[in-house]
Amino acid sequence: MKANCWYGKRDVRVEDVPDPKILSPRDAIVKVTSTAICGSDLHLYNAYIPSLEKGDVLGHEFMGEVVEVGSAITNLAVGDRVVVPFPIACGHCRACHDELYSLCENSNPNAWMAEKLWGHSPAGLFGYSHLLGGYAGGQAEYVRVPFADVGPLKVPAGLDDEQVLFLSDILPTGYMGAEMCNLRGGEVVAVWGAGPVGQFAIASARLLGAERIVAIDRFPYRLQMAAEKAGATDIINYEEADVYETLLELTGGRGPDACIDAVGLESHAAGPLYAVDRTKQALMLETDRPLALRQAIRCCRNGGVVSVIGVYGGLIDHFPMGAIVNRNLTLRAGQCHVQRYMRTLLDRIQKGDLDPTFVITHRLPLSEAKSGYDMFLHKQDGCEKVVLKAA
Amino acid sequence: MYTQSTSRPDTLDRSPANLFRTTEGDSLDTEQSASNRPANWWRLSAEAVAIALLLRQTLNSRSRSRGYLAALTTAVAGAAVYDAVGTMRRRQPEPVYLRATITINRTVEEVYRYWRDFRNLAKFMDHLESVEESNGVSVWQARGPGGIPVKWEATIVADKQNERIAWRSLEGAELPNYGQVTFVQAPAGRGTEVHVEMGFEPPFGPVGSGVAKLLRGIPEQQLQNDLRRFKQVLETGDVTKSDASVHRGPHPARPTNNQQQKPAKGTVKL
Repeated sequence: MKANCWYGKRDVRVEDVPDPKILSPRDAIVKVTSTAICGSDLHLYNAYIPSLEKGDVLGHEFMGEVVEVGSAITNLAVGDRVVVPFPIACGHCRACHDELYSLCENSNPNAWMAEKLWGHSPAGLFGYSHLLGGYAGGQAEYVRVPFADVGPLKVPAGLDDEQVLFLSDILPTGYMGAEMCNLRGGEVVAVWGAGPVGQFAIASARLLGAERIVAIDRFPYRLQMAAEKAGATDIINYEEADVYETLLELTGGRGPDACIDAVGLESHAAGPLYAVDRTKQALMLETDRPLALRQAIRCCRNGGVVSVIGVYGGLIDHFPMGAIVNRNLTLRAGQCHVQRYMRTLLDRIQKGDLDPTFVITHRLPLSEAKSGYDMFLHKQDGCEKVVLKAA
Repeated sequence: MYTQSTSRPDTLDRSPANLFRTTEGDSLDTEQSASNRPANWWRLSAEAVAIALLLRQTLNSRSRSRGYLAALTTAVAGAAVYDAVGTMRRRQPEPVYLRATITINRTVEEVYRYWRDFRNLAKFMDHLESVEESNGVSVWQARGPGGIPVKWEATIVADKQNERIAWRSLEGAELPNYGQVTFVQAPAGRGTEVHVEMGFEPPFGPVGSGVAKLLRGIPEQQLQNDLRRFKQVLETGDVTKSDASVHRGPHPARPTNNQQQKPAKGTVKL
C-alpha cells in the first residue's frame, strides 16, 4: 500500500509499504478514504517531537471502511464506515473507565519511554512517534486499528466523509478546550490561534454559551474565517495591535473569563521575546516556545481559566507561576479524550448546530502529501486545513 | 513506579528474610564491591610499577640505603598482595535484586489466581520461556540476555491466598533465585497493587560470573515492563502490540511484510 512516511526534518515521502495485518483479536483493518494533516503533524515535520524513526507512517486523523476484523470484534463488520479517534484506548483500564481515554494505561507499548520524559505515560497515538507507541499512522491506504471495539465510531448513512472526518481529532479537541473553560453562559473567551483547532474551539465556545469570543492570530484570512464561519465576535491581529491592551479594552479592564491556547510549542509573537525563545529552542535551552501561553495567562481575568489544547512536548522557560498563584487562575490542559465527545458532536453535526467542513481549504490525493505539508506549514494559498483523499 | 536498588531494601514485614536462601549481611551488599572494582585494578597495576621501580633502585643502590629500600619494597609488595586477594575475592559474582510494582484494574482474587498459575507468567515475562508445575515443584525455563537458555526448579515457600506468593529455586539450580509477589487492594476501588521482588544469586566460578554479567543486563526496568504486560493481559486480554513493538530492535512504525515478528510477547525496545 501507499503511505506517507517521515524521513527527517521537512522530509516526508509517500512510499510503498506492507499492508497492515491483524496482530491482536481486538484489531480491525480500515481502508482509509479520507485523512487530514494536523497542526500537530507540523511539529513532527519540523522535528520538534523526539523519538521518530526514518520510515514511520504519519497521520492520526483518518476515516474509512472496515475491511477486516479480529476474532474478538463483534461491534463492527466488514463494510462499516468508521471515524477513528487519534488516542488509542483499551476501554478497560481505570483511565478508560473514567472516560480519560487519552490517558489509557494499556495502549502505549513504549510506556517506559514516556515515563522517563513525563513521569507517567499517556495513551498510545496513531502515527505520533515511538514515545507514544510506535503505531503506524493514518496517512496511508490501510491502517491497523487496535481496540476496535472501543474507538471507531460508525458513520450514519447520509453523512459524507468531510462532515465527520474531524471527529477523529480537531473537532473534539477544540470542543474540549472550550468545555474546560467551565462556561455557564455570557462569558468572554479569547482564543489564541485561528488554525483548525482554534476555529473549532471558537465554534464550541459559542455552542457552550460564551457571549463574546475573541480570535487572536496574525493571518488575516484565518481571522476572517474565525469571524465569518466559526463565530468569533472580535478579532485581534497581534502583529497590528497589542493583545493585552486590546483585550482589556474589550472587557472593561477585566480580561477574558477564559483563555484558550490553541497554538502550542511553536508559537510566534510580535516583538523581541519571540527571538529570545526561538534562540533558546534552537540551543535546546527549552524545547517549547510558550509565547501564546504566557500571553494568555497575563490576559486572563482574576480567577479565570486558562485552557491549553495546543501541543507541548517538553520544557518551557519563564513560566509565569506568580500570575497563576496570586490571581487564582485555573490552568487546565490535555490531549483530547476523543471517544468521550464523538457521539455528542456527531449529534450536533446531524442536527445542523455545527458544520465542520468550513475549515477545509485544500483537497489533495494522498500521493501529494508532501506539498500539503509545505502549504500548511508556510500558510500558502490561504491554507487552513488539508484533506488527503486516499481512495 | 520502579525503584533503583543495588542493595537489599528494607524487608517488608510481609516478607520475612528467612524465606530466602541468603542471610542478612552476606554478599547482597553489591554497591560497595561494584564501585571498588575498577579502583582495585588500578591500584594493583600502580603497585606493580612501584615494586619494579623499587627493586631496580634496591639492586643499583649502595649498601647503606639498600636495607631501607628493601623494607619499602616489601611493604608495597604486601599491600599489593592484600589488594590482589581482595580483588580476587570480589570476583565472586554479585547477586541481582529487582523490585517493581503496578496497579491493575482487577480484583485481588482475579490477579492472585492468574499469577498463582505459574504457566501464565511466561505470557508476559519477556525472558521466561515456560513454567511447568507438578507436585509442588515448578520447572522454569528462561532465556538469558544473550539468548542463553537457563533452567531451574523452584518450590513455593509461602502461598497465602489473595495476599502473597513466595518461591525459591531448589538446590542445584544453575541460577539460584527467589522471589515473591504480594497483592494489596488499592484504595477507592482502584483495583489491585502488585508488588514483585526477585533475587538472583549467580554461583561461584567462571559460569557464575558469566551469568552474573548477563544478569547485569537485566535492569529493573525489564521487570517493570513485564508487570506492564501483566496488566495489559489482565485488563485487555492481550499484550498490547504496535507496528514497531512487534519487532526486536529499532523498527519504523509501519506494518511489517514478513514474519520476523517476535513469537509470543510484545516487547519494548531497550
